[in-house]
Amino acid sequence: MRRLLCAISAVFTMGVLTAASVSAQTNNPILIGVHLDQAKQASYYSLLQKDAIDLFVKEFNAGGGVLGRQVQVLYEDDENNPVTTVTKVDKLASENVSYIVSIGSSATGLATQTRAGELKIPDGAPANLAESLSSDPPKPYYFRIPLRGKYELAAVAQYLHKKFGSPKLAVVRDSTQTGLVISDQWINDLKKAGFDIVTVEQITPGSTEATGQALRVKDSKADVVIVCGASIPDLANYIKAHKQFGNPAPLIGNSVFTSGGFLKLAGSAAEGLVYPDAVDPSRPEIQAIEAKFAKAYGDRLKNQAVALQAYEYMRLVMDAIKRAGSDDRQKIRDAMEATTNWPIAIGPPGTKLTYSPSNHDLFTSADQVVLREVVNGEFGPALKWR
Amino acid sequence: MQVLLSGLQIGSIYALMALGFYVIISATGILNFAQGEWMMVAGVLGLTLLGFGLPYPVAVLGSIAGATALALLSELAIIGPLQRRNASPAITLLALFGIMIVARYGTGILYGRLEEPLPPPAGSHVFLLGNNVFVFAQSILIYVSTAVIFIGTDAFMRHTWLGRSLRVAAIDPLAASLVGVDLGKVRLAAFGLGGLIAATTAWLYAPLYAVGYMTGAIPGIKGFIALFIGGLASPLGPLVGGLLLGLLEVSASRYLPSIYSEGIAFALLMLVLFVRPDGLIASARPH
Repeated sequence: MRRLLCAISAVFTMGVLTAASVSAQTNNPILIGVHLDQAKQASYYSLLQKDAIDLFVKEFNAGGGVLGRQVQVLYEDDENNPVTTVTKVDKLASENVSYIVSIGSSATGLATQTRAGELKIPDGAPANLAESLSSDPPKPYYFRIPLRGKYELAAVAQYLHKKFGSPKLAVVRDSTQTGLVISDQWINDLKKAGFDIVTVEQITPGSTEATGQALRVKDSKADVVIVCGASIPDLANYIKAHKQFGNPAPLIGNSVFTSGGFLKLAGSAAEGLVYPDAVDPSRPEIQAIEAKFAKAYGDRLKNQAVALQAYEYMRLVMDAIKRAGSDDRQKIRDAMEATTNWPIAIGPPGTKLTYSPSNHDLFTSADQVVLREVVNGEFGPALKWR
Repeated sequence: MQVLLSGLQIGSIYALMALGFYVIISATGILNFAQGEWMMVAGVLGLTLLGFGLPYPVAVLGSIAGATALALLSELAIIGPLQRRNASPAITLLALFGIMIVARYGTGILYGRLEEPLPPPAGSHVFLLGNNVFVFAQSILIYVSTAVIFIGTDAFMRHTWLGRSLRVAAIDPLAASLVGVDLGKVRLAAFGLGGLIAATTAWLYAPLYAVGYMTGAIPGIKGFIALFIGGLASPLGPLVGGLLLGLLEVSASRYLPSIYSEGIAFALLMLVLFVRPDGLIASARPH
């Protein structure tokens, strides 16, 4: 009898402990790891995305979270260093995050892609542009929604042919490391697309003016000037000089100009600049998110495509967790890959996201790229040119 | 003509940055790595004060005072104590490098990473001087301010007790201390003057570029190069070095494919160091 009582007590105790454990697990928040550049070269974009993620999570938790649980984001500073990023991914893995979102530079995003893949943690980036982040077949644990360089370029090439025929081009770039990488790709791809590039000029970072470059471009008699790179103040100085010297050649930029800071720096000289973007501001979904940003942060996230992309990426990840019915990494990965015809605010109106075992990208053709123009001192609506 | 005006504009900025380096290195032997950061701090402070709605002159003076105070503080709290403990030049350099990193990335964390324009003190007027030749009101302010700052610094060094102390300490610190020059005060004055010049330069440079936590990096490097091109013999060295560097950069970007203008500063520095190791002005006016 005594033994029986002991056995019953033991079973009861185990049951209580197991129930408590299960209850604690289901009441624990779902953890999402995010690595970002807190203070170095990529921090400007990182922090805009962090603001968007913070706002999304706050709203999402207020709405009840997912699977009856709250969501908690664990941030790690990657110091814009791929080696540091790997250690931060390991740390996030040990903290049992269900998903890792990269909002640092493309270089750190690439480090995460490799390490998280090895650890079988689903991961991805809302705004990393580097083409090297996409592969065929795709990395099994990595999912993207950013505008891709090759489609951005293809859209610009189509626009140039359609609007100007076969124009002679001048390319102006900044000589920061990222600026050179981006512009080299543009120069190569534009040449491959059959364009005649009559001059390539570059701006030394930190210059207060671009007189020499603007005069050389004017002398080159280029029909269209491509302004591409990464350093907005330097490119803005060229654009100001271009207008001051009365060069009538239209200006076409790369997606770096999607930053709100550009309009302040270039002032009225920015008028007429055409550039590719991931978002179409006329979409009601974009306007709704922008309104939330404005309410929470004032003008800080205004016209910041990267923030919109981060917000939408978090929405996608939460939906995948809901469809997975679990915070299990493998199930979330599978749910991400099974995403089909999912309405997303990035891209032109009506864009729907479909991943598959052979595609983990939102942007899969130049037709999805939005071209916009600076009009009346603002980033204007999507151009109707196709 | 436009190349000349533009070259003088950016050259003046380089010259002023070089002058800040010169004042400190000539009086103390210390190469102040953080010189560009005082300029950056002044710009960010100015933008912040304007954001608070303060009147423009108050923002200008407040930001210059704030950045100069930080320069003084770095000497009082870090460099001075290290010098009193006879720290090696390498340790002092490392400390200044640390100050630069903390100032730069600390500003980034506190202020954010957005690069914004600073409203120009002279307004946005453009004066047309001919076909394809124009000058901004801000550029005129740069030319005039550079002249005033160089003349003022030279006069200060020649005609005030503190300025003469700076020069004596530069020539022979031991002899200077024997005749009653307080080397600690000289060092503090040098850092204060260097900080003041850099902070003032912020209001000349940033309106034509942008204000952000990285704003001081490139002018700091170019000022350093200009100093060694011109030489350390007198304030004329930084002036000649800065203007020459600016004119060559802009000329190269006009008359050569601009990809070559990138290396002009370093090529010129190497050439000068090879031909005249003490800088262009050194042989004309021996130390």
